[in-house]
Amino acid sequence: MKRTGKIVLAAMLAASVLLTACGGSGNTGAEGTQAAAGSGTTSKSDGIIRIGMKADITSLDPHDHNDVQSSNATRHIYSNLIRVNSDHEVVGDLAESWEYTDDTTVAFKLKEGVQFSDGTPLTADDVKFSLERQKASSKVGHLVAMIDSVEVVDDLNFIIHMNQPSNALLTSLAHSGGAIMCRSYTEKLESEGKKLADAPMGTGPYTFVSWVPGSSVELKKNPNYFDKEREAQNEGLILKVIAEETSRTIALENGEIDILTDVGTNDAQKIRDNANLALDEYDSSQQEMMNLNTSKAPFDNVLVRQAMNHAINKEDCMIVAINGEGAGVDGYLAPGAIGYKDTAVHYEYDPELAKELLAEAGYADGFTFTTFVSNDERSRAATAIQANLQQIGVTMNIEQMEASTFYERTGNGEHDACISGWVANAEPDNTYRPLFTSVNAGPGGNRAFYKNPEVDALVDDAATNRDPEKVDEDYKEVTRIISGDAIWVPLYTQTGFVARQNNLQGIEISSFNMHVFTGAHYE
Amino acid sequence: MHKYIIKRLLMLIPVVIGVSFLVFFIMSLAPGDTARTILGETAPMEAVEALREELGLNDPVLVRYFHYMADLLHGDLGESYKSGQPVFSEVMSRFPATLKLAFWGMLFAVVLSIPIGIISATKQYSLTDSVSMVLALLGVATPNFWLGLMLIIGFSLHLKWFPSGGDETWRALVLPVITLGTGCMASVTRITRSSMLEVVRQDYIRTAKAKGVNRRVVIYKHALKNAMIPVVTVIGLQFGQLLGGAVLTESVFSWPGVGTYLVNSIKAKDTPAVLGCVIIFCICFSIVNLVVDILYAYIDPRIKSKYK
Repeated sequence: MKRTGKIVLAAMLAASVLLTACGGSGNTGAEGTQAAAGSGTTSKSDGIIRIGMKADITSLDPHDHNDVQSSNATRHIYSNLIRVNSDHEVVGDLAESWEYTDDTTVAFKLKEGVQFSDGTPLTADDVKFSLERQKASSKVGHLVAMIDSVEVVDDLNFIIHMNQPSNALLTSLAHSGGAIMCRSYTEKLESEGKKLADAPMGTGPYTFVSWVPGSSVELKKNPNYFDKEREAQNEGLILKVIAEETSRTIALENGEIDILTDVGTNDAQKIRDNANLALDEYDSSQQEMMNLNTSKAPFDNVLVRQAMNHAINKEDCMIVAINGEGAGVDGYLAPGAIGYKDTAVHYEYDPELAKELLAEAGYADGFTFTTFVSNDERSRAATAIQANLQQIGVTMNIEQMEASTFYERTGNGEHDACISGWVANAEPDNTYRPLFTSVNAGPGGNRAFYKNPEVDALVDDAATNRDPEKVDEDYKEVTRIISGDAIWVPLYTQTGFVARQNNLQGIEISSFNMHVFTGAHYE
Repeated sequence: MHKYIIKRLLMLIPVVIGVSFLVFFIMSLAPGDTARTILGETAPMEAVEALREELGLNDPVLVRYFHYMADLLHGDLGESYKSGQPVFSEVMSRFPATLKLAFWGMLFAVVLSIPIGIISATKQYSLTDSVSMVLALLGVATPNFWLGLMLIIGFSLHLKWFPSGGDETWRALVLPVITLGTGCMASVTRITRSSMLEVVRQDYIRTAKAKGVNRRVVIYKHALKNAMIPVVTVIGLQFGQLLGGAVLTESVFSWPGVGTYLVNSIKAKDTPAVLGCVIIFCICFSIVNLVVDILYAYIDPRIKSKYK
């Protein structure tokens, strides 16, 4: 009895110690605040803006990466010939002007007086060098596959010859892989056996200071930046990698970072409720969808596919998957994406109609199929869909697997259906072509295995036709056809978020995650 | 002794070959396309195919393994598929952070756990013993990432004593060290206690006590030294594991260590990066084990005589 009493007492003591250690009193005494400030993590007076992001940087060589995080750094160090602004307009960056002399030839003129941050003047020869270096890159070379050659006319003028007409040229030049680098600097560096990734140098608004892999990249304002209207409103940027979602939000709440680009849907409301913080919301170019494998029964039958579209409640699915931080969609490209067309057929949520369509297709008693998913969010979405489908007598099994397995198996067409997502970039052809054309059925991106020569021809025309109205009509028609054929159940789009300290202003938000932080400053 | 050390170091060669062979083939059996993972979904098939060719992924597994081993024999761990950077420099740029965290985490654990273990053993069934054993049980049972988040919420968000992540200052070290050290501390406390309990029941301890030797001397000189063998073993094993990167702790505290790098490399099917990490861990682990074995000799001279 005595021993039992001791053990109970001991357990209580231990629990109280643990709770005291972990509970936190909410007391933010002056001493504590000073200590945190003294740790060098919170300082708004030095003019440096700290940005939290979820993943590490792969490389600081623009030709050696193709991811958002690395691009966050390189697009602030380098400039491109062209950029796409927040209104989705294609505007000149290093290019003063350009003109199509025929369908495959574009003459460019560079802005005068632009210098690299080491003082070397920018010339057309640097552009030629950069684009040729990009073409040879296995990571971003495919973006400029349409470029045949670059002809230098003089220091400021050059001509791009394309091997075929392409409307994607300008937006491809705006991709972070299209960064213009200094020929003499890069060649010297590489001849010494050094890597450009370790010492990037461009004409951008910032210069490189340091990179601690896995931790952070530090950039400093470039005083010689050519575009005075767009020069940095802060002294520098520190891009910090904070892998864990909760830790990222806490770092923002603590003032250890000023801006957070990857906000979890779990934390969005918490940030809205915090008076010291602000949450900027935007229409993102990201969309989730359920691909129906049109090459296999029962989804080779358009009536069954249409029935699926009527049977699934997208709003419920969105609430379950992303805590209601988004909207259900009808379209095949997120409303925030460049190239979005509102001509998709709308399928009302109507289980009765879905049952009728199934009966008409010969599946009055329903059927059983398997959906592949690759992460927890999509697994939650699938659970909501499973419940919806049960109401019309269809049994859906869910198979969750790791992402690379998912892409391999769905690429091979092993799935009946699968839930995937798509983030559209600035070039619509980069979405319409992989997702909907016959040649890309399978691993190319078309996981509905949809093959329609009419759609193929429209996508080809949109990519090459110089008449913007015709391009617009092509994409509208593609949207009409594929939504009528119901090759997906378009599910939802997640609201884009950038969280920041309340009194920080000036972030240029991009619907395709290429935010610009040069204007960020405290008021 | 020297011979023994050299022999043990030479044994590293077959171990590294074995480990690299296993990892290489397991990686090649895993589904997923490295080139597609690197280029992303938007890249056209031709680009994926070109990258696959460039990385040599179309070659048979045995050919790739042979090429890899040929490079390895020249001391070259290859280049990461993902970043194109040399794996050795990528791992080494992160290794100091891992080593720092592992060292302080272990020190924290050892400094606290051994005295607590001794006190628990010498005062068996006392309140102190019960409290420390319940705490040790909690420490073993508490998941790292949960403890880390609770510490961040308590000491960073509310009290503002320490930053929530990063590795720039000594303050940033405190919470990850506690998080990482707690689990080890609990294990070492328990093993110290049980090992001490076994030793204090030995005849020579009774004899020492009977002849009137000071109680402190009996415990710290006679008992502790003899109880240390299992304790050093556990510490060595735990430290070896920590050098492999404490992935969850690193993730919660944004600690730029090798663990996170390894996990990201596995996700990207970046075989050279994964192999590089595993080979370096393997070497570290073997060296730590060797150090533990050498320590045995100093703790127990009877063992020393067996090292030849």
